[in-house]
Amino acid sequence: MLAKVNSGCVMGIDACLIDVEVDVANGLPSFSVVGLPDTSIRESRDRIRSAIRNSGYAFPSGKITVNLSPANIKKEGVGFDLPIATGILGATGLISPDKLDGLLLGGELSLNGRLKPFRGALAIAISLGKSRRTFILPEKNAREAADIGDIPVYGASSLRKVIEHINGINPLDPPDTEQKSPGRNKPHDIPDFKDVKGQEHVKRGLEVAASGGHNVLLLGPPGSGKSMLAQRLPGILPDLSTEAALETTTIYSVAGRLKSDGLIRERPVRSPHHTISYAAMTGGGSRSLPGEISLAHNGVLFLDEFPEFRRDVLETLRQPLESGEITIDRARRSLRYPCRFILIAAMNPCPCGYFTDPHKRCQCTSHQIQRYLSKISGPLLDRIDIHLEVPRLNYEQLSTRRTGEHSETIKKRVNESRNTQEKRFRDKPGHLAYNAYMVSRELENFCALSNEAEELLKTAILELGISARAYDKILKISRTIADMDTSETIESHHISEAVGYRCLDRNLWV
Amino acid sequence: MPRTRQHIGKLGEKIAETFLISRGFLILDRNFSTPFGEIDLIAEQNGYIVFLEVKTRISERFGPPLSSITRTKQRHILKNCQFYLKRFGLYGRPCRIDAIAVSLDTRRELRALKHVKNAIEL
Repeated sequence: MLAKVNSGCVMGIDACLIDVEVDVANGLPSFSVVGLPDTSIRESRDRIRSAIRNSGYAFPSGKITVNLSPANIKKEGVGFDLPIATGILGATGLISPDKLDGLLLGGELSLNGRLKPFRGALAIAISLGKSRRTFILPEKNAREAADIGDIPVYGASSLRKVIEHINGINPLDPPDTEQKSPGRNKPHDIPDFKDVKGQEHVKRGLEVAASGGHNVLLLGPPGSGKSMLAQRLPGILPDLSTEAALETTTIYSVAGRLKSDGLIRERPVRSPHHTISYAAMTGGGSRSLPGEISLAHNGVLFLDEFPEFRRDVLETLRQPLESGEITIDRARRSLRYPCRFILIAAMNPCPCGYFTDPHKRCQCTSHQIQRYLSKISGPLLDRIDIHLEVPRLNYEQLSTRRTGEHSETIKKRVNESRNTQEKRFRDKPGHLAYNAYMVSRELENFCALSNEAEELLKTAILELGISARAYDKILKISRTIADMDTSETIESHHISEAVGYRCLDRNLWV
Repeated sequence: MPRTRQHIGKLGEKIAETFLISRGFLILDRNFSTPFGEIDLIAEQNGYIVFLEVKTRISERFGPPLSSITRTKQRHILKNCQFYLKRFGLYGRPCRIDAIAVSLDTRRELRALKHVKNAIEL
């Protein structure tokens, strides 16, 4: 007999609908899976056989053929265990075929018939939610999927429960979305800016970065607090919208990195070590999983010791930084992952680290410094709007009792300026609502300068040797600063602050 | 010595056959030769064609009887069965391959018999 069950297969962060057809025919006993299954699906045969027997059902003796259609897509993952097992039981007549219509199943089976969560269930639920099918998933995945809303989802703990539900003997309860206790996915402890003493201009710079979505480069001697400052940036970013939270959670679901159930409500922070390979950074590998830049989507990517990263790794960041998404093209497939993040790079000014330190002598030759800085290429630096020098603090600044401003207070201001920006870009569909993503035509439209400001900018370009590419950057940053100031036009003090954030453009360096 | 081994094997097959008849199997063929080897017993039960591989041991010094049905042996058995089905035009009939382990003691008295249904799959 023939039975057909629907399931889904993850492709990047999307999913496609897969028909699982099971035929149990007479003949010498055999069990084969066709339709480009990968090894984990092929191996599922032994899991399914044991799971069916140990759930108290008879495994049919006969020629079993499972077809995963469309047959031209390479399928992977353990999520097909449940649909195949259900299909086999359906083909032996245990379930009437019409009851399998309109269902979408997924889940890994253990040998005793229990259901285990699988990677990418959320992506499947989001992409295929429109197909108006009832999802039956392992309990943990069902809670993930239920968060999307308006999709009928049931969570089951074992194969037997699923079969009994389909047959209407023992219906399952929909997952309890109400039990969204605040304890679930509670924000990880993002450190507070109030712990940072001094460094007021850096904090201000980071506030500008958070407001406009600008990328930042922190430059300073060892021990000046670069990492400390960078770690606190997520704390002043606006809260994730539900839409953005879904995107981020989907990426984590596809990567198999969801630790707790429910949506990821706080912005992710990724700080990969500088030994990272390019595939781990951009995504890829044999299964084309999302990389660090995608895991940092809607959050912060912190690259400490920036010049120590492998050159090819750094250069791969160029295109994603521009477009906010990465396309992974391989011979067999081409996948797109979103990766819109704020990059914070931290580096020392020279190999020994003390070039800008007023008290410690730098040991490096100018040639060494040149070589060190040349590891960061022009095009890459071009994509980093704000450069901040982080000086070492002196004793008075360190020993002060005065605590800095709380992250919460800064966050309120950031929220306000983001709202201003959102209003500006509202009638531009598809535009990312930050100043950092403005293109040059938009710069002309939105960056009206006062006469004084225009004069100052002209002087700055002439006197400080600022390049043409830095000109756009300065306009963008000053737009953000003006937004924070709720000023419609850009004034001269906005320009002067913006120029201050471009220290690497000034030819004072090296 | 070879004669003793054959004798033990024959004895085991006899015991297995008696067992199957007592369980309501209809014996279709014994020691059916094919170009690939031999099928010990072919029986019919509840509409199923059942191919049987009988293994007989008088001691477990070399492991349990069924352990000697290796992957290669399984492949041979499958070929034999396919040949049989083709030969008699039985394709499309439900069928399965069972194994029977017969353990004898040193006096060649039956000690244990184990019938494993669906022992071999394609």
